[in-house]
Amino acid sequence: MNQKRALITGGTQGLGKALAGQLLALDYRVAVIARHAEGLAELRKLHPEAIALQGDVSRKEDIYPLAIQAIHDLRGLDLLVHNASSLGPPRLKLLADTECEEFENALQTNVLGPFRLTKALLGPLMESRGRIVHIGSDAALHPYSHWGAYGASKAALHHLSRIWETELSTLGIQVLSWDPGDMRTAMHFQALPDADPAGLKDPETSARELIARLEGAAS
Amino acid sequence: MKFSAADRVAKGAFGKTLVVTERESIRLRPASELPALLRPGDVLAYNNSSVLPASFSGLHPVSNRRVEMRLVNLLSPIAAEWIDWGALIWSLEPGPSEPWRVPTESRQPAPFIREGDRIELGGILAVVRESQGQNRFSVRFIDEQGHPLRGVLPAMLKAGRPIQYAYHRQSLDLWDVQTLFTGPAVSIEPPSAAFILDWEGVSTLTQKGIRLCPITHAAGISSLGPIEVDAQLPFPEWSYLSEGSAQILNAAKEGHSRIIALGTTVARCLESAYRLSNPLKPGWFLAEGKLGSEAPALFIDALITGLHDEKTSHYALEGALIPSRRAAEANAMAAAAGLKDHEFGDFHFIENQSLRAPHREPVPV
Repeated sequence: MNQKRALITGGTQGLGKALAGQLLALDYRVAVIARHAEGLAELRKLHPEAIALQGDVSRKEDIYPLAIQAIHDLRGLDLLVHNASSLGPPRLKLLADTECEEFENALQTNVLGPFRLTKALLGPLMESRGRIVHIGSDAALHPYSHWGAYGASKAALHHLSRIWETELSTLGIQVLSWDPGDMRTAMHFQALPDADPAGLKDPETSARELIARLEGAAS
Repeated sequence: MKFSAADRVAKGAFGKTLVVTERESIRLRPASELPALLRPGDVLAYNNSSVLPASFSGLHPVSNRRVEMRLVNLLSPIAAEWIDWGALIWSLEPGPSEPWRVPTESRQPAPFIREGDRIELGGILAVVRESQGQNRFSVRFIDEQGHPLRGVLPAMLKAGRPIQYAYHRQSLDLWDVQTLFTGPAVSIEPPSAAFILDWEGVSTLTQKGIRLCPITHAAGISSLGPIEVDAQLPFPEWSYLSEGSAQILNAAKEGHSRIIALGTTVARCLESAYRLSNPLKPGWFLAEGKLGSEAPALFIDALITGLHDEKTSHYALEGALIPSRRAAEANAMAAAAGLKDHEFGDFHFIENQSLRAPHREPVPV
């Protein structure tokens, strides 16, 4: 049987890490992109079979080396999950207090990075009639105060995803924009340090829901 | 009549011209009309290989001189990954900040390099294994202890940059030299006929019922320097057919559907595969020999390629499909229209006129 192949960005923490573990358990070959070597080393300790790729999807210069390395290691691609995400500013701010550079950072990580990586990987995805998932947020749909850079970038990502979906269907590639809900992740506590963990979803639960959605769509 | 060189990055069909050489006519069409030349059921075979950054700058510690090493072709068996290479090494004279502006045929040789010497290439080490004359060597990527460097790809991606062209206006980044397809990273230079396609074109072809079929072929270097040395090209190159692609191609051949090779690398892959086995077998194989008037194309029905000067090995390959008189006519028409050659230039669709010729014994390719 052909082993399915998945590439996950931001895959050493939270939802990405949970997805990597669950897809490996389902016998996928899984490659994970992350910026920091320490996180990748920890992931490899937990899942020695995972392929660790160090790079930053917000950097244009990193995209082709990452794409080429991923296709080499995975020998093709069936599933691309754009999970890496940035709040923009290190803490939540009014949009009026947000520096242009902080907003740019959110757009590079949350919009342009996924756009570039998808573009670089359309060939292998066409060959496998593969799937692309953009991890979204309800901040893409609701104008929450203080979430300006993040919300605006996630809105752009959501729309990007819908346009990809429309345009790529002729190539047999399916595209999904998916909101995992508010999860107990480092990013959530970075945004809201006083958040009550009990009111937040376990990323493992969100990962299970996403996989069920994908499996459902495939059946 | 010579072409002018396409000297800037320009991908996709927009603004490009396609010379169409068919049995009855030679004509010029906008390259965006490529889908109109193809019929439902045709198979368009493309080379999905990614392009490696194959140029490395570094130091030859024995002489303390700066050098450029440019990969030529992969020598290792494919299973051993990217360890052993044919390479060109030049001495880099102090001075120009863009040393690739010096045409390769005018570069300084590196006679001070001996077998066994190490070369430090910005985070990656190579050892010279054999001198092959001129500036050519066989080299091996090694670790600090001198062992073959397994898993060399990340270091290559970090230390290398794409091969640059003296005639090009700007330096090329890694994304400039990739085609749409981002498959196995085995090519040294772009399989540039694929630059005729953008995703609009791919969608149009797909919707018209033309089947796209990937092959992988390790495109080697396109020029060694002096044109008489280039006559040796192409060297043996690794090629791969997946099971799915072999099935598509065999079914097309059996059903008399046309098979169109997008690029000379695809032509070489398919013609070599056909000479090794009919029906085609999946797997890696080494494509050796040369297509040309003495070794006609027996498998493909047409070739889409760039425009090639009459002294190049790519032009000689056109002789595998059409008589040299016909190729010269097409070139004359293209040059008179001001069309451009090289990686980002115009294109040539060549219907194979040797296929229906009396049966000839295959010449190994």
